[in-house]
Amino acid sequence: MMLTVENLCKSYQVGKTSYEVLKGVSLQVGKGEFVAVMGPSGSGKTTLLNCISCYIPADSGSIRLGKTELARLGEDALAEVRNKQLGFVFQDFLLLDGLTVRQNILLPAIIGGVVSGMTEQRADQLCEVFGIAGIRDKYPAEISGGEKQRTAVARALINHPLLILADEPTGNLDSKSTRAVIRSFEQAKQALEATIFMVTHDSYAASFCDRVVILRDGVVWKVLEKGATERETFQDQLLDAVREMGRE
Amino acid sequence: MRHFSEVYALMRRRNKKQYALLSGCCFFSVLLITAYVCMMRAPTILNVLPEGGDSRKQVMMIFTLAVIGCAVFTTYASGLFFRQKSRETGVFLALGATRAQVRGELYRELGVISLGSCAAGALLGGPLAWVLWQVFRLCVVDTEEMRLVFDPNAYVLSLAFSAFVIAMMFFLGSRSVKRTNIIDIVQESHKSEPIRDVPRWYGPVGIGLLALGGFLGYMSSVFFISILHWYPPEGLTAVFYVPALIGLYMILLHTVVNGWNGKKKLYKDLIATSQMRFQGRQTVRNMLVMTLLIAGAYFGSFYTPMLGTGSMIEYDTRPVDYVYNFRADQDIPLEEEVLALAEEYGVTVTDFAAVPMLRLAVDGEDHIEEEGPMGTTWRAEYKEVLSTELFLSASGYEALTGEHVDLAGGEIRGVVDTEGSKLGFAPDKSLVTNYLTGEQLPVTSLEPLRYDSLFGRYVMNDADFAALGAGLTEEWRETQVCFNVENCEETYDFAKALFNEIVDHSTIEVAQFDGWDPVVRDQYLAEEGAYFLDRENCAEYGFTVIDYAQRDSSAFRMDWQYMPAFRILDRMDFVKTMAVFLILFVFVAVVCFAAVFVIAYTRCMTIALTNRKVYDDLRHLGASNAYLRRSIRGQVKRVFLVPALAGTGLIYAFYVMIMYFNGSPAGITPSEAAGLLANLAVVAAVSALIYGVYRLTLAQVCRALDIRR
Repeated sequence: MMLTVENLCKSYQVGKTSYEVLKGVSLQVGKGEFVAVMGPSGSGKTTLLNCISCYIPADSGSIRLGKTELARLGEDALAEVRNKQLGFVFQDFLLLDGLTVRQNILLPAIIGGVVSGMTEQRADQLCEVFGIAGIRDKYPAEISGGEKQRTAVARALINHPLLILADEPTGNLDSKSTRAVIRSFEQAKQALEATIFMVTHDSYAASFCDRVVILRDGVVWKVLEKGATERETFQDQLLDAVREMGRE
Repeated sequence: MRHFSEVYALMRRRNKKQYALLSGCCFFSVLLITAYVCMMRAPTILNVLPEGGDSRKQVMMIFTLAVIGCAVFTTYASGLFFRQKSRETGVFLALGATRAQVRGELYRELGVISLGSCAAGALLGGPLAWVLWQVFRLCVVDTEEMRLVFDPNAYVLSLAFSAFVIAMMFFLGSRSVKRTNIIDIVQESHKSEPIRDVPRWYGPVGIGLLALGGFLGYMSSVFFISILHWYPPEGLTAVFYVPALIGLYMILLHTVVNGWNGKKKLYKDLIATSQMRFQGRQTVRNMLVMTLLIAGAYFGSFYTPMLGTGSMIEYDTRPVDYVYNFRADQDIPLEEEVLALAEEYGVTVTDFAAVPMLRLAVDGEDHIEEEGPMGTTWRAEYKEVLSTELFLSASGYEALTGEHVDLAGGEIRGVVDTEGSKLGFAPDKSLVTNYLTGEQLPVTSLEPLRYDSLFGRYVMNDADFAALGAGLTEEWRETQVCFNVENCEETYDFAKALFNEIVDHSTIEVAQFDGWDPVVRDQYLAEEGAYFLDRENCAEYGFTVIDYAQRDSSAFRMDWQYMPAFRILDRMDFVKTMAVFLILFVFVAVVCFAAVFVIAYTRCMTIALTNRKVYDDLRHLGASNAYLRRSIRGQVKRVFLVPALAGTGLIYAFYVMIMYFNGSPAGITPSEAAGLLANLAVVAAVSALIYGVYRLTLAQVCRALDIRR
């Protein structure tokens, strides 16, 4: 398994009140899988992603990337995992305004200290794959939301990560840009064999995934497999599941 | 671009305004402190600010305020810098950079910024002080004593301040990288600062505490010394100002959180008030520091107009153009020589009068200091022979003033100024003694006479004057000279020449600090073996050593016991005499106001940064640019207006209180009222400057939030 999460718990302290956000989440993501996590606001989607990214420490439970137990890693080793084995796509893109599209894509490689001619070629290749070659010398302020998000996806892939973690990657986008981003994930999966773990509340975006994990109140409520189902049908199944959850 | 350091360099180029602001603040603060220290430690200045004297304490106090101001504004500028940089740092960490990697680049960058700007500030601080000083000498006044000499030791303080700036920047930088939670760093620029509910009574109670603290702080030393007969340890009276500080904090808190409009403009100010409420804590702290700095800056700024106006009025209201006195054993120019000198300068002398005076011992209460478990206390002890005063005969007084005074035997009248001020003068005496013969005369003190030019003298009838003067040697006799001139305004050269003649003819025996008293001296010699106002002891006790060669120095002119009072000389030389004080206080005001502007600017930019999302949301809800502008103006205005109003009102009220209570009897004299009016002009000028900076800042904030006109 590429990613194994077992019995993950996390709570937040606000003043004197403690809020339990994750109450024992367990899931697995296989290599080359495209998995989405859905759920209503407050269900713990983003907290789960932040724990897997090691941005926030979990209270208990385990997260394994391949065979590596992330909780046991020191700060520098964690940084290396983030840099070499994980790729991130943030909701707000988090592109640096002072760098061009190409420089932003190269950033993880620069941080990792492994920028060669090959890396630059790969950045150019990623620009071609995601249709942003024409804007690669532009700055983030000069491009559209969809182009920013595709730049972010390309950046997530520059270091050949084992797993891409995406937090509401279509949250701020119009339908055209949403399609472009989802297409870029599919391209990444097919052309680059990427494994993708995406948090979303958008059933349209989730319907492209192989599997959708639905969270409710900090636990896994249901897991839906796409299998050979048509995308539109799978989206209907997702919407039915959401409705069912609302009725309970 | 293949290396991390190249990314950093690129980001630096892209964000050069942020770097420029931080470097500029560091440079500016070190520059100001260095220039101030260079000036303050220059032997030129130290010569006119005696060790342990009030003026040196005042300059030190304001220097401390300036250091605090500069320290605060560099800290705020650094805070803003790291806040703006936090997103970049967060992205680096989120993408797998190690903290050591980010810290390394940041430290390298900080090293260059801090060392470069501090070194530049320290290097240019001296030349700046020198240039300012020369400009002042060139444009305003130039005297021999104003030749600026630097003390290399001054740079020790400058280096210490630079070390603080560098350490502070590295500390804040390290802290910003050290944050364990990357999510916090990524979102730091959007972090709100919640505030607890503030009851509405905070406003009125705050005002009460402020007034109470100001009154208690000022009056506590009077209470301790006059009522309890106890000299409180230094710093104790400062404790009594604490309620004022708490009151000020409560007022600012109430202003930021609740506002003073009640619910009248609830919806009109909704966004501005709500946003300020959520950033209340830090904003109120900023405002408090700004208020104190504005108050400090005004304290420095008020000194010059207050002193200038008061002095000018005093010179103008003197009833006589030329007044001087001298000891009878001195060969000082009298009528014949004065007239000859006047003729030489084409000056017409009128109303020349020279009358004898007696230096007689008087009774009174002495304050005997005692050391005890509570520190220094004092008790009053009546002494028949306490000190000496100068006595005129009634006919002598009439010759000088033209005013006839009827006095019976045993009656005396002190002379106070026309405003009736008795400050530093107790005209009620009951026993007068010829110190050499021991002849005593019990006296009754009548209502004081009022005549500015003879302030502090006593008048007795001619028979008593003759009887008590018998047996006094020349050292105990003096001559009082008064005369007028035609076209006084055009007699500066004559005045200067006569002043030089008087100084040239004075012997070393009368090179005494004002207040030197032969009777007090005898008592000190008998009890302690030394008198603190004797020439040889003056320096040790922090008093000016009177040096005839330094006759144009402010110290000489203010402190020589026989300093003549020539209206034209005093008026024309006022700026020259006070130059050192003027430039120091102007400098302090510049430092404090600069600190205020930087703090206000950084706070407003922080507010812009924090509110960016809110303003985007408002725009999505259909808010027009005019509405957004009005809303952000409400916040920026509060950051500027509240401390400006509070600081100005506070120090002005405090000044009025000082002026009211410092006289005897309490009250505002016409010259004090004129000084206070002059200070209002300063307030108007500075307020215009604050308004200008406010407009500039508002424009910057609008630009940062993409709010167009």
